Amino acid sequence: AAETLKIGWTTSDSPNDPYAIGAHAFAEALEEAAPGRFDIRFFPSRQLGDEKEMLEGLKFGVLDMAIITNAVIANVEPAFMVNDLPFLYADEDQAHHVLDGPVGQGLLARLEGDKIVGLGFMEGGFRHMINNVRPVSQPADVAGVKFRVMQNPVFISMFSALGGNAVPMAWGEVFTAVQQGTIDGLEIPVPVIAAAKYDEVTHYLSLTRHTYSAIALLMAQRTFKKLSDDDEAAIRTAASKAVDLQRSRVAAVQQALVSELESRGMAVNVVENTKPFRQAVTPVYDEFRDRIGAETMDAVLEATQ
Amino acid sequence: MSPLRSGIAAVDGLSGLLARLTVVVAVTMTGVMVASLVLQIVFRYGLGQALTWSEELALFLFTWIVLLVGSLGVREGFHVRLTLLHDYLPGWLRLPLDLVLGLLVLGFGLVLLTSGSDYVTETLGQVSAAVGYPIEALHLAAPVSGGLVVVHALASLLNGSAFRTAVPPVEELSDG
Amino acid sequence: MGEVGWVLSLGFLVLLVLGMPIAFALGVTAVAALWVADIDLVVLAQRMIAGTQTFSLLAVPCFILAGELMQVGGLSKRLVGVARAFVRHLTGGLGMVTVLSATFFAAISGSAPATTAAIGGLMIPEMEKSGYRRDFSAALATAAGPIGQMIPPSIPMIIWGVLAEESISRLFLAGILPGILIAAGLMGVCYVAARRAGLQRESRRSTARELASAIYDGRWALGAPVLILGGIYGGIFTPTEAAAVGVVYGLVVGLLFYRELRLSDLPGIVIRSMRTSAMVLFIIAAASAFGWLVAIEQLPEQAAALLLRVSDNPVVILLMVNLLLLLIGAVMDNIAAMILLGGVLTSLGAEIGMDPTQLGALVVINFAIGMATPPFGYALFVGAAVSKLGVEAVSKALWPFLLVEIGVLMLVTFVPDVTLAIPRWFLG
Ligand code: NA
Ligand code: NA
Repeated sequence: AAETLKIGWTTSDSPNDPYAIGAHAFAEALEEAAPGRFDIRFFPSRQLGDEKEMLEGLKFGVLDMAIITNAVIANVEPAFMVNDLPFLYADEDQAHHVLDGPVGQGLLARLEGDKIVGLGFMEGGFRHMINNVRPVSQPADVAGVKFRVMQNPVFISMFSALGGNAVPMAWGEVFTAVQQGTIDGLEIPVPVIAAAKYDEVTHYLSLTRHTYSAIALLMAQRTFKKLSDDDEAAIRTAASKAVDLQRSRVAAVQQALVSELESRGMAVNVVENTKPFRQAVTPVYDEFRDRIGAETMDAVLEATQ
Repeated sequence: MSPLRSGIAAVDGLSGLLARLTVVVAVTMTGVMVASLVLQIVFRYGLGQALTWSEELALFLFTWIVLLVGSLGVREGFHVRLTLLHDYLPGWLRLPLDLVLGLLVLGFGLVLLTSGSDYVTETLGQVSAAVGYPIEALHLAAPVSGGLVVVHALASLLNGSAFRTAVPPVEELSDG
Repeated sequence: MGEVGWVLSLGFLVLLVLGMPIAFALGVTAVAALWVADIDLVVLAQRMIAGTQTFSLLAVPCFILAGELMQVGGLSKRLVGVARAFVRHLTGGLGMVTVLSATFFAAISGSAPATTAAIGGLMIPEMEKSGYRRDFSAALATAAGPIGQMIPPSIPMIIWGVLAEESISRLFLAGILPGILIAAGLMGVCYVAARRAGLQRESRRSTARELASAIYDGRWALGAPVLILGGIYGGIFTPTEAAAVGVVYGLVVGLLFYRELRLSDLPGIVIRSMRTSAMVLFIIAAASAFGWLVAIEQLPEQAAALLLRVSDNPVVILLMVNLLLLLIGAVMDNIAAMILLGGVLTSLGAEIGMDPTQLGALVVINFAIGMATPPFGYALFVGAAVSKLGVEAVSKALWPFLLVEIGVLMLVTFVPDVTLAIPRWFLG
């Protein structure tokens, strides 16, 4: 009989959502690699809890698979923080190169100790800044603007380093807070701007590419070990194929979404040169070096110089 | 006093002591929780610099308050329940029913205690999202709450007061 | 539905009917279902923690505490004074004072039973003195309670906002007009009842001077909603922060301005509020373990599909939903009901294309009415307790008020503007 695999993620099951795209790409690739062997059940929209719980759930073996944001994994394996360093990856290709290479695979391998099988890094797209004060094109533009940031020390330090005003705020309150002017803006990947209709309440979209959002396709070791060798191989093959598929679909979606947001009235500017930003955030790199581990850090820095 | 009676008295005393302790801790935590929320606004407006720890601290205290005071409800019988059927039952049926329900509450407390302890040990080393405090400080709320439920449930079973309060007193009624 | 589904639904129902506290009925059933499904019990502990790690829920204990402080601190008394100055001269005026002060108090408190307690305690004896029947007065205070959770702030709206990932500020605005309509309807009932009973008008119309003096005396009480709602919609703070500001405001006014609050009262007030909060939130914590199992068994989808099989006519579906919610609200705690039905209701709403804000308001208003309907409702319990009448006596006098509320509910269901006009006007 077909093996049931429950896969969870926290965003909606929409055709523009990187997590949903990833889950469906994996299902397609798996059906191709092992026709009829698996019955994949989708649990979008935080149905099985937030990412912290799903990650723990994989460890306890109460959930089969999940797509989890890098920053959340870093709370369990600090080395993952390296991916969230601001202005680290210059573009998608560079990120793919590092994440598919020894560094990325080394990170995923660390999860074995947590009883989790890391199948690969998909992408949520670069995170950018949106706000209602001014377009951001150089570090000084960030100063004095109240940006909501993810509750994550790297992001908080990054905005402090840029002289901005980082406001950690629960996601549920952010939309109204921007609308009412409680905060000026936030940092966010493009698909989320569209999905959550932030174009209705924020004016400037600055493509700052400040953080590459890696999202990991993970499986519970308990589920993985139950599988036959053939099925394990099928899962691995499907995962690597799904990663490629997901990345190219997300790229297409993003491009379309940026023009759509522009046509809906957002003022979009591209930050061509991110070097001054990277210079400004050097203290952040130093701050987290120890927690990330010198070896991982140096390997990534060398690959992204 | 017979050993059984003194045993019952000891559990009852422990339950009472823990209840008083819970109240003191919960009141203090509430004060700090409200204060950190207010500070958060003061800092964002008054001083133009947002606090990075206030929200996480408030949420941490909130979880503790809920799970601590929730356990207190076992002793004080303030948890909401339907008493429709209960009220129509003859006395000789009510007692065994209350006994069974009380035992189930006790069992629930035991599961929360043990699964909570597992949860704490399995997630050692994990840190919170914003401040990076050790996550066991938060997860510990589950086994502690479970342990308190066990003590209070045991005490009320032993002294025969399980589910004494049919309808919670007025000042405690309100759920929004 | 698999065996886990049966354990969840039947197990919970049986324990509930047998008189198990709701929170524990949910928790015990979750444990049983985890065991049957052979899932690690650690999920129980994990979900009970996770269920309370939601920032917006912090508003619940804060609003409850703020309401308590404002009642003890003498703010509700002043609100009655203001209401009285406005409507005392009308036929049924004293009944109207009850409704109007409940409406004022609603803008401070997020809770139906708290509203009934705050206003009923003051007004039921006064109404009786002026010739109203006591059961009528108690039923009126009971029926006015639900206004407390329709006019913002509103604890059930906060909880629904968290459940359905809807903007809480938007939901708050959606409740204003229905709340006012219910208030107007209840006042209408007072007029008719007073006329029929041939009750004398209480007094002459207030002079401008008397009005001004009542407002001046009540300025700190009237300032509370201005601060709370003004702060939220003026972009100064989030609803959660507003609740904390409400606590500080209640403290300052009670301690320093009205001086009816003493520092030594505080620990008692705090722990009383935390007990009330824990009643709600412990249910939420346990329900979050239960809800995880409901989700993993994909029960909401199945239930919604079942309902849609009965009919695909939106009007029929909406009437069915209302009936279902009113029945559930009659016999059950509204928070637990919202958590259990949240998934089904959002799937249904999406299926028939209802605006999520309207849906949220519809659900909350249904359960707000459920607060007053027999046999199980906190506002009803409070009304019965403060009037020292039985639940049965108050229930019998309730029906004209409930008819008004069901009428408003129908408006909310079938006229989207009743809920959506104000949020659209404010927030676009
Ligand atoms: Na209210
Ligand atoms: Na009811």
